[in-house]
Amino acid sequence: MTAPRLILEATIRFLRAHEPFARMTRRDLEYLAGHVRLAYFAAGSVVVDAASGAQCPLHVIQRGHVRAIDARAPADATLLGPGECFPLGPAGQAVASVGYVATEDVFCYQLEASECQALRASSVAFAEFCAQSLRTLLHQSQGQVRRQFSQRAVEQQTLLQPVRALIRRAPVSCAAATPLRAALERMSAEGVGTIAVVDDAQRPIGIFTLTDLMERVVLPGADLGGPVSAVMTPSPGAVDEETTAQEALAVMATHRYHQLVITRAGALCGVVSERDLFALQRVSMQYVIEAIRGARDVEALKGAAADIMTLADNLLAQGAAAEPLTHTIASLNDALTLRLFALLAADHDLEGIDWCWLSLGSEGRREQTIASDQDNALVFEVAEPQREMARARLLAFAHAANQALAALGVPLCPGNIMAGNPAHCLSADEWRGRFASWLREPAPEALLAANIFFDFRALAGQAPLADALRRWLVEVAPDSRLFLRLLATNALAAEPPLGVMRAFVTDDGVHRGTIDLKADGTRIFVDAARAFALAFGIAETGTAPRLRLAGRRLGLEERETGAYADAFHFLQLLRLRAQRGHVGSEGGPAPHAAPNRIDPYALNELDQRMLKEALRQARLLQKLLEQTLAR
Amino acid sequence: MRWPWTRQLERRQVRAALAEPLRARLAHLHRRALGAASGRRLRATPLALARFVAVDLETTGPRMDCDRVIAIGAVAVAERALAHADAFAAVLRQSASSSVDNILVHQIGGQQQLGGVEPAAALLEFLEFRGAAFAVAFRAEFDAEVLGRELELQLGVRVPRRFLDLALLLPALHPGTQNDSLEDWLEHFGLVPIGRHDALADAYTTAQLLLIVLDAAQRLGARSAGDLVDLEAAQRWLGRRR
Repeated sequence: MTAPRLILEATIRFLRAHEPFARMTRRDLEYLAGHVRLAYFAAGSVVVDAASGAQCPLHVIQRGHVRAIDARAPADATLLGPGECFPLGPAGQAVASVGYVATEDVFCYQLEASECQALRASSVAFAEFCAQSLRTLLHQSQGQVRRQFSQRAVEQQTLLQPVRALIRRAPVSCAAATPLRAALERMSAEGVGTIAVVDDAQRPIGIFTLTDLMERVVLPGADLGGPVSAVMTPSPGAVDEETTAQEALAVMATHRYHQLVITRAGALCGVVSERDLFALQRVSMQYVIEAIRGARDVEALKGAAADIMTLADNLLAQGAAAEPLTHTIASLNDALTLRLFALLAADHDLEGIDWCWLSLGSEGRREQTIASDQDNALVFEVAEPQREMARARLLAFAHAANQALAALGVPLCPGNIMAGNPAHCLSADEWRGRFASWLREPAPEALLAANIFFDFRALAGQAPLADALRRWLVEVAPDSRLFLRLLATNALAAEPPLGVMRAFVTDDGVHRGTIDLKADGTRIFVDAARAFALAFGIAETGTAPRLRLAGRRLGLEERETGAYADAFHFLQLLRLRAQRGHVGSEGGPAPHAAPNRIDPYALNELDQRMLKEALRQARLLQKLLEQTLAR
Repeated sequence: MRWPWTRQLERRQVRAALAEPLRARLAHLHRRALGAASGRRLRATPLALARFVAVDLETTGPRMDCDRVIAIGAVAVAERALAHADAFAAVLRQSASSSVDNILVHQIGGQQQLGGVEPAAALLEFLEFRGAAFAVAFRAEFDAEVLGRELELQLGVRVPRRFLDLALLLPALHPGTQNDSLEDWLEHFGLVPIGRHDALADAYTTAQLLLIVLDAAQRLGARSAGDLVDLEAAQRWLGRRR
């Protein structure tokens, strides 16, 4: 007997609202809806016993919540909600040690194992889902971001706005009979490269640009007393001010115009150049790098810094993954800082000093988000007698650099961990002494503050100085047992906000209803990775590479360490989206005071599941850390 | 004046008028599922294995003594689950479509009513679908009465009632509520109907309530389908519907 249409339709309607069913074909959904049984479980009853084995039917929660409890780690209960499937292990089969208990009255669709197999054979989306890993979910999540924000990107892209919005200033114009010299003087006085030639009714009849000056005036030796009409380009490309920027671009491309005259009711009202229009198109990485390289002063760099934000926004909208995204931001910020130093160097005499600018914290790990503030330091090497003199010169330079970076939009470090602070502008010997004291006599509080120093990386100057310091640290750290244990204990202090009754434990008070993605999320991964790196003598500073190398040392499978890295990157991505106002349907940037906070329940269903899984990975990582280092 | 044997005679006439294949199926059904022995077996079936059929009827009106069946929706619950593939729905062809008011309630238009399945065939198919299972409905009295009469008129058979009433079982197993109507209970359990004013949709919801009832009954120590019947009888004796 086949299921009546009404039941099929109602079931499919429900399934379609959830992954992976949303991506399955109608035929496969009909198969699923027609073969499931609906079962009821009162609150507190066991839905799937841990011992039920591989022949257990697949459950899809229709209503209510179910808690998954791993017998090996009872504290790691995960809460599953409507649309979620269980039991699903890594290979799409039940995991023997995990049991499922209804936390409230629950209805579940059940699909027998044999039918599940048939569905896997027929539906690629379902098969993929069953062979589920964090990776597939992550992929889907990025796809959703892409879909969600391509609309936003279109709106941002001002190519659809009328070209009048691009007119920057009142046009400079003259009559046809104006002597060439007078026209050039006007252009020079107004600081423009283009002058429009108009008739008595202000209608554009020609255009003259600085490019024409060479070919039509200077080289032919034209008479500067003659009328401008003799050298102008007659009947210039003109469009009405209501034309969209898109169309204007098309007109330029077709006729190879470099300038367009904009008219209102036929009369001249502005001139736009190719550059004005091209700036509207997506800011590309290349463009930003060139803008940084070409910047002649701090003022010009400010524009480039703003472009980095736009680029990050666009990459986010295009669904870029967190790792390349944060790396992009990091390398652009590096380029920005290097250019800034080059500009500043002219004012500072650093001759004869070997110095190296160190990036610390997230910058050192190349994991900058948009709200990251400055964390930097200086290491230098000079002959002993000149040390204090060198320090003074470096401090002056560093102070100026810190202020200039702040002017570019990288906030000053509230804890004053900056190169301009004498405490962090040290010689190589002094740095070694400082690290040695942390390693030898660690105090938990002091270590918390010291964390970011261990993530140092050379940014500018003599990189070998930083490398030597790193080599030394990698050698001595693994033997500092007490230090490592404290480091691990600190990393275990944070608790992933996973709930027992609800999926997430949100905060109260000022940040009511939100969770801190940094303090209770990414930091756990960062701290654990740092502890592992120092314990195993890993020179890497990035969290993901550190975890990968540590995993190899611990004999973990690539898949396992990959899951940690994926979880970390997902949390980073959420932070970036929160900071750029991409979280939730409301849009608008997050309140500046809490750039890393989000309301987890405002996320879409898929992201909620991802977040849950990522936080669960944080917990697993903590457990690993506890077992290896905290004992 | 109608004598008991008049009705018996009428039923025989109806049966005689049935097409041969229908008559054969009916006889088979009688032997297999409608006898007294099947009733005893049914009562003794363990709850966890028993099959129930949640039923909802759309009728020409609310009068128990004369209104007719327009549509039947039924969803089976077996082994404590509602199987999508084990469901039944039919619209019965009417000789004259029912009144406009009624059409508005059930949204089964005159065209669809007149175009439905031949009633005898549809009813027989329903009986076969139901088999020896208990039928379950909310306010089952009405459905049992109307369906019983329809079966007499169309198939010329009297079948054992075997209806369980959720309106009695629910307050027996979930005492202390003010719930009275089906809507009250749906809200109580947070159930959302899969359709409106549709026999099958209502049967589906009834089946969901039945799942809840079966779970509660088992917790209370009920072992067999017969225990449910006794529970229902006790609640009826208490005379409380809430």
